[in-house]
Amino acid sequence: MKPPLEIDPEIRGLLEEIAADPRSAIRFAPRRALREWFDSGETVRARDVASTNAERHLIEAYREEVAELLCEASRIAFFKAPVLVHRELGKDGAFVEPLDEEPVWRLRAQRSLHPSIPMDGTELLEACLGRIEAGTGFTLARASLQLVPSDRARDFLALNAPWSAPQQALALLKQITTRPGASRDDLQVHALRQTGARLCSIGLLGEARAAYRAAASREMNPTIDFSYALNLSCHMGAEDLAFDDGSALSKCSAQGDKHLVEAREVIRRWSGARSQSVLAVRDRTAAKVLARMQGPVSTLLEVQSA
Amino acid sequence: MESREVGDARRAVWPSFLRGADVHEVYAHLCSGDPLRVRERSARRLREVWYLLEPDRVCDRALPVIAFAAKSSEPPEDLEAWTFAQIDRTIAQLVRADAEAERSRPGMLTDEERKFPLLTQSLFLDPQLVRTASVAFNALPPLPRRAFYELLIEGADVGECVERGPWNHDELYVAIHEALAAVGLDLYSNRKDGYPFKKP
Repeated sequence: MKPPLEIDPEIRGLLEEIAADPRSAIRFAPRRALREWFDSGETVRARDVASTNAERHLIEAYREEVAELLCEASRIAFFKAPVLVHRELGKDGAFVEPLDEEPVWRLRAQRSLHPSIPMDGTELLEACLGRIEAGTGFTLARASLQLVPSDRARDFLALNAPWSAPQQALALLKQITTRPGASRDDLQVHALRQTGARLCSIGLLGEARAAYRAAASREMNPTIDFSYALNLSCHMGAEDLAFDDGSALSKCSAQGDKHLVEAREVIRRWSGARSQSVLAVRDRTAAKVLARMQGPVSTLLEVQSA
Repeated sequence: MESREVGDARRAVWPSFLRGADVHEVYAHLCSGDPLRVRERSARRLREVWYLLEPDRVCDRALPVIAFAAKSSEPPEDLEAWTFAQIDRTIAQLVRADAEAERSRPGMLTDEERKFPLLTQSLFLDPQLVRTASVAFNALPPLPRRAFYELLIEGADVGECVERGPWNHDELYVAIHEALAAVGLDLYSNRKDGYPFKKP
């Protein structure tokens, strides 16, 4: 027989205080390990699930399934016409190519559609079975969000939002980033990076840098984030910030780091649209940083000055 | 796991209770006698991942999730691992759904959301507050949640907990109070100095 529950005396004190309350049901509950609530004795707590709630559970599970498929489709749609985004590295160290996932997605979607269960969004999925079209990501993500509100759907909706409507994307991203405990770290990082990109697009470089630094604080390998932050520091002519970002980058990255190569490529494309006067500020700041730092910082900044 | 020889290759097949003409049929199989032991496995998995959810609720949602997964994927080599993966998906769905519900309709709970005997009967929480408490708890990092499970649910003593965990006594103390704070049972929520989470 399991010995009586043994917990820290202070915690026991808390529970005894609760038990002393005349309203407390704990006084009447048998003294047993709380674990018993999680011991599923089929004979003790057997319930007939095939009852009035069964259909509701089925529909809720199906709604989640359809929403997930729509979300994944919106991601694939985005990568058919990506805008200034770096590739992610997979666990095998190779770059992930999201478009390679479309055939697997299609097979899963075909198998997952159940015409006998009416559900919003299935028409969109059926339309994607032939091909997921570029430019449909926003519609797909919105349909997913309407089915099942989730930070993942908000993240993809923001990703696919038009660059002419940055406030819409920023509002969606704010919902994710201002509730850090409510979603996974990787989702938080992605949302913060997107926030940085959108703030950049409206000229708020300081705020964008802060977003990338926030992403860096949550990311296992923050090379991408410190690279973007360093780039923005140089564009702002903020030498102290640039030294700080460069130092942080040097600590987490090394020459030849694939993340560094990706960041450099994105920055090169972004910088191509900047004016000569702005680039001159960047170059002056970069030169001062390079005078004091080498290694990954030189890999990133030298190309910019070219 | 069943398998059939196909030429020289061994191919896994679904057991009979995961086969059916449509998802309704598979779901009905799973509900009848729980051949996949989903109820037992849901309860066990919650204790392993330290999320605060009503075990029956996880099971009720996991059954259709498994039915849909069985109709949309190839049979796995390891059915038990596959089942736990579906239960993990279910747990993630419910944790997220509760957080969204708490955000979008605070104070409005369904009967299913109010039903959580562990919180209402053993820890004397107002049923109207169980979703708030469980959402706050499930948003915690793993260590406080683990401390709660090991000390309160499993009934481990402090020494045993310290030995097998990644913490010393002080860190465990902070962790359990962080967990208790989430469900409103801590001692320190009125302290202005923030102890034990901040140095006094």
